[in-house]
Amino acid sequence: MLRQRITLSLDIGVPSDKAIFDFLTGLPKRTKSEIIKEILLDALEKRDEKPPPDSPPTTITSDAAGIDPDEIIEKLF
Amino acid sequence: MRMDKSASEPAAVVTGLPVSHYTQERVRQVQDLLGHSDNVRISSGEALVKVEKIKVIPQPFGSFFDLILNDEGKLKDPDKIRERVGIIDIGFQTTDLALATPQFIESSSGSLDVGVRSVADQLSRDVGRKYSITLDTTEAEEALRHKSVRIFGESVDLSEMIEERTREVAELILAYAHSLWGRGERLNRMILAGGGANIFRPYFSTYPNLHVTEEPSLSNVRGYLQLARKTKW
Repeated sequence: MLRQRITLSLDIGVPSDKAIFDFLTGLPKRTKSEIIKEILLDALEKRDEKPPPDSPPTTITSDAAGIDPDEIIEKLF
Repeated sequence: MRMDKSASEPAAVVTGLPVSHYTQERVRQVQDLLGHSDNVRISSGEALVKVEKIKVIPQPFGSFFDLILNDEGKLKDPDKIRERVGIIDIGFQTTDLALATPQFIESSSGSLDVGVRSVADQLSRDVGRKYSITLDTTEAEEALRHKSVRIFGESVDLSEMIEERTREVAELILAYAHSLWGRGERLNRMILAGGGANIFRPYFSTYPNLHVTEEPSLSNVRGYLQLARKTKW
């Protein structure tokens, strides 16, 4: 499902804006969970979007058994 | 960033980038930036330093090296080098999570746009609503540390408010950690680091293998220094 992000600027000195502000901040926990879920999904999406070839390569492979531990650390980055 | 040499000598630098910015391009940018800087401010003033060698690592790996290397940069326990270590680095603006095997496993690492500031900002809003006073970020951070605020000279306890807001952010970090590492049952160790480590620590007690270093806000830079000492430049 396509999700959209909106930004609201509210002046809580104005009664109508304050009513919206109170409504949004007074939303029940379940809705807060939804918002949390959205932040989480955003983070996961960002991670998935990151193209793997662009990341600095690590030089040691997973079958590094037998390699000197000091050498492993030396070659990590 | 920590310098491994004193002034007027060729210097080697180890520094870090947030996980979400750790790309080849960014690493190159940092290397270019540091490689060109000659005048560097050090504790005793300003000095001419030629930075010749630079290592840029994912930021939370500083805490990983702080865990596995001693002050001289030597491995504390070489037999444990292949352990799987999850690192949660809670900063002011963001939280970085990284998996070390000891290789950086990018697919099991990531960043969240929450941190100590998220709690401080929400606390500021709560206090504003309840007591009609405005706290800026610095004041909210101080209230967070003292778990109270002074109103008309009286100390007002904010423990409950802080507990609720901290828990909300902690749940978000825990949910993300869960999405990356499951329940953490395959991790030999979990490091909690960064300026937010002590604030959020109680919410991570479900991890039996949790490790929080002394002064966790400094564990990344301590690790940079230890790696610099370890490296044969």
